[in-house]
Amino acid sequence: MKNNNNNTNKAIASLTLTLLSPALLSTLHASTIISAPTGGVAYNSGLSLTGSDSGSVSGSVGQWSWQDPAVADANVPNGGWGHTSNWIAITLTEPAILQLTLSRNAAVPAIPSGFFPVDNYFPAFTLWQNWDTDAAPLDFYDAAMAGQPGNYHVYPNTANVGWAEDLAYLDHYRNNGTETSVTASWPLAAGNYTFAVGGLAASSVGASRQGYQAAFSTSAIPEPASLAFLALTGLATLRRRRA
Amino acid sequence: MLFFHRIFRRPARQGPCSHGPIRTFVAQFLIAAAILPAARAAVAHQHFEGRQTHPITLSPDGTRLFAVNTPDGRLSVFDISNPDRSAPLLIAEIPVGLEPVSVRARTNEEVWVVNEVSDSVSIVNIPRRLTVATLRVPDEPADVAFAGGKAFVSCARNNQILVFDAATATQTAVIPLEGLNPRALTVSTDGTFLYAACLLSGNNTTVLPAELAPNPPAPTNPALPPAPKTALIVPANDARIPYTVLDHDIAEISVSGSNVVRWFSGVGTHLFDAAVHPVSGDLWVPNSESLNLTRFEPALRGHFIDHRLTKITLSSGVATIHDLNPGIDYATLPNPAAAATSLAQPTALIFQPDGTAAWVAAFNSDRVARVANDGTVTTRIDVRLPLPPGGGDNNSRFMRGPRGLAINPSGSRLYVLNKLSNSISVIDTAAAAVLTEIPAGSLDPTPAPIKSGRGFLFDARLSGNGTSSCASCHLDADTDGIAWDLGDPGGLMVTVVGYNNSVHNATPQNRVMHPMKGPLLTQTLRGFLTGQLFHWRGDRPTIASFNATFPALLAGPEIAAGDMADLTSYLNSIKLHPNPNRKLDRTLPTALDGGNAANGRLVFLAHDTSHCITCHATSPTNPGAGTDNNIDLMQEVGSTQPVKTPHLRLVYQHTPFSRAAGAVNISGYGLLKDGTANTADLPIGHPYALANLTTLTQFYDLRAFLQAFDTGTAPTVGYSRTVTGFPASGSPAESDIIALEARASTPVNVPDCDLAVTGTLAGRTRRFVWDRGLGRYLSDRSLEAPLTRSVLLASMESGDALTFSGTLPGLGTARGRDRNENGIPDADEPVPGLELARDPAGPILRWDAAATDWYPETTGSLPQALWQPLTTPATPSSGLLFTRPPAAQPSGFFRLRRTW
Repeated sequence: MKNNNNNTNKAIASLTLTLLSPALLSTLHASTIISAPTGGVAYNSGLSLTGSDSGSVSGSVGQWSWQDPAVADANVPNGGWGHTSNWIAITLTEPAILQLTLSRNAAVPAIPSGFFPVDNYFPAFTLWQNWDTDAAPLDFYDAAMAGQPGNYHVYPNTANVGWAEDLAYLDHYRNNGTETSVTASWPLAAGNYTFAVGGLAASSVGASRQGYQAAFSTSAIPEPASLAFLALTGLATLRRRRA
Repeated sequence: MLFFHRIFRRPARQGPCSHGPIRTFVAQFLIAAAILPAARAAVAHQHFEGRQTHPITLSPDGTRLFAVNTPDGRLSVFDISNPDRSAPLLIAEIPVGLEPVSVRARTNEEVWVVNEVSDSVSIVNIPRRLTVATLRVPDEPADVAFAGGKAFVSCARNNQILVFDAATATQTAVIPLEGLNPRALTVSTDGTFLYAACLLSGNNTTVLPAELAPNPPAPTNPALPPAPKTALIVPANDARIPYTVLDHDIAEISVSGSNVVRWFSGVGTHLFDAAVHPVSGDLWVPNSESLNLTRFEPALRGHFIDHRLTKITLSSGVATIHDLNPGIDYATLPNPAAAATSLAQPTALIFQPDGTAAWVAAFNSDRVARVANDGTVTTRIDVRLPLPPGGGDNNSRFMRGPRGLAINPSGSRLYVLNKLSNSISVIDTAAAAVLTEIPAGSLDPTPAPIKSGRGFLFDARLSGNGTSSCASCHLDADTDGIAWDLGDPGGLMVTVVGYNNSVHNATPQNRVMHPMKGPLLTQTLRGFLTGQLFHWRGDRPTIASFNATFPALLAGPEIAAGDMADLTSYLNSIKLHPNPNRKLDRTLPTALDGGNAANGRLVFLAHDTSHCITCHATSPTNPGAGTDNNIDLMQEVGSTQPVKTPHLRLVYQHTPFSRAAGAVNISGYGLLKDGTANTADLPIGHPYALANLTTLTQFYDLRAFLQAFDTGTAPTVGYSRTVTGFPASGSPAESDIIALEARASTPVNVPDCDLAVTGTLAGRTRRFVWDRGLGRYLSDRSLEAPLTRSVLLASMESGDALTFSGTLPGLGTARGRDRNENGIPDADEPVPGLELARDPAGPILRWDAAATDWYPETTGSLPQALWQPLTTPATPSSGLLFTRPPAAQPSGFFRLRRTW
């Protein structure tokens, strides 16, 4: 999918909105950091949010971790790298509009010293429903590629992940190549969700990891009338902020 | 002039020791250099190509010549007391450590031998023909010098000088040096200063990383695409360089204070030796200067190295450079006139005792030159004398490789230790001619193909003007510590198949490589892996593919296929040194440079954490080398062109380097193929997004592991311990011996090492080898039962010394029981007969000329005999040697004595 400055940047062909109880107004409070689930996609961090909540996670990702044509092939034309992306496990304890702002973060400590650079970080991400925590199979997700060892390093960034079969694709954001911070939001039911956050720099750029911050917040789902409007339009709200 | 190559044969079997009539021998005495391979166990020959620094010297009284027999791990002692004898008389061959490279005499009776691979110094008692002590020193010791009652030992890999009390051999100090790879040592005429020359001192160049370097020029081949962006070699004082590169060439060290007083700079890139003028006191340094600021192979062709003598006026510190090859028109290629006289790679310099001239050994030219005090070369002597049949003086197979020099007190005789032929040329300095050439020892275990093949790496006569060879940069088949841009703007693209192993994709991929490859660090030629690709980019499939370098860079013709095959055999025989950071039992240290290497190994293997193992893998053919020999995705490591996954076995040799502003470096080059990476970034030498280290502990542990990476040679190889009595229970000596026994028994199929014991028991020279099956020591006598360690040690008497040494697997028997591996234990070898007769001219002695490890001795009376070498010259005839007692000796007793 191409970037379009004027249009939405996501493709939600069918976003099922479970109904929604009337928006609950709750006191905004800090989210709960949870242990990253083990196994599966190898989550890097986890966050639990209520219906009115906020929290963030930071880390480092590869510059082209979200998609690199060098690793794309017929089976995975849009491939992200599992190792160099960061996997975030989200739990919504209540239905809510979940907002993600993914941006550069120059304050992520690097090993052994200093901070990760950010000058080549152009945020991109993919959202799936559910967590995947069972052992990843060694063969590639596509039956036609069965037997290829260890290909779970590559994940389709605009579709389901064959080797993480519990994930159901919901949405993605493809950076237009200049954005240093992107924001998107979705009305979601209570439950588990998975984000793969990465970068989309040109492959010719250097290989160092870049610092990021993923800031999450939740807010009440709009009233049913408003929700119906959303349902008719078939689009969830998307706000985008340029660098 | 006779060349004794027959010594490489096993000695002919002879009858019992006797002074009676001797049998007639059929064996012919050969006068040529068709080097015959020594009988060797069914083990592919391996060695370490030790860098001889000061391999030959005289005793203080000038009666003895000492030379290292590097391939045999022995010190050779020659009698040169008789001026009527042109050929030194070999009288002793004393086991020392592995790869001895330097020898100096502290007194007439005591000699110190520096052993490069053993990381030790052997203290040798000459009258007793015995190593009486072994000093352990840091990695890769190179030289020793005596001054002010002290002994100074240069430790090249650690950039240190160790100081010992020369009389007690007790270490008293360590002098750290801010210079790279200090090796050759010399002392001022008044003995107050020590000078240490740094072999890899550099030439004040460094490398501008690709992101800061200008775009490369357009290719001259119009069919080429634009070149990739690469780094650029620049002078270290380039305005774009924010750090400092020290040009520390020679350290002046106070003997009394054991401290560095000053550094001399601007001497040269590679400093091979240093000598003090006996009259002026100036310091002269033979060196080479690398011209790596010149870019691209076509521009460097025929001229990329200069060979010089640099004179340092100590009072002012001013360095005056004398070109050893002045006046060469480098544009003329080929240039036979230049090739006929060129002096390449001056590895040794010594002055005439009266200071009227200096002698220089040109290692890569097979020439020795006399140099006047104004730096003018006045005489050139070719040591590669013609050898029949069909040799010719330009045949690299018979290369000598003059490496070390010694001169007698009168200055009439110059002794040249030839490293490649393992021989000694004796030069009449007045006539400026080679008088004779003798072997450096009675045995050289180097097989003929390997010995022959070496010449093609080192021989500068193969180049168009005689000034360069492969070894001009690959010093002693190793590295020169700098980078070169040998790209070719008019070249061709190269395609090599690689795989995306980093993402576990085994689909073959074409890696297309541009000929303008940018600066690349000179790589070692040691420790080749089975089936490896060559060059940083893996763009050369075999060693034979480098034949094109002879015309392309050296401006000489390609060599014949058979010669290239021997060169390949030679290069494949060179092993890497043991990693000094490994424990003796080859396990990983738990405390190294702030990390736990054992834990670091787990981090290394943790796929999700470091991902290192994915590319820096192990394989059945090259276990534990740390490379999958693959050309992976270049963006994986931040490269602008495809690069082969390098092995990790030499990470421990890295020199600290930082590109940070204000940093001070002793080298202009760091890690990675172009030397641009900070060593402080280890273990993540290259940018690597796949690494996901999250704690400092992981970082330091992984770094420690890389610095202790196994090199393929066990730490016990070369390790030695000398005992002069039964070691106390629990003592370090006992622990060492037990450890050596254990590693000579483990792993069962391919143990880390063999274990040999040399020295004396009850005053007699003895040898033993550890038998892992029996768990006992086999002696050099077939009728002697195997001994336990306790019995062996308990047999020692006062004055005895035994040295327990780890050898390469398969070489213990040769070292400790059967030197020539003919199946006969050494002590059971038949001894040659000696016949004493009389002819009209007087008494005459004769013995088998093939018994080159025996020499005649004489004494005036028995039984309280003081046997002395019979040094009257011997004449060969019909396979025998004939000599007569001195005219001044009216009577006497005679015998033959074995040199070892």
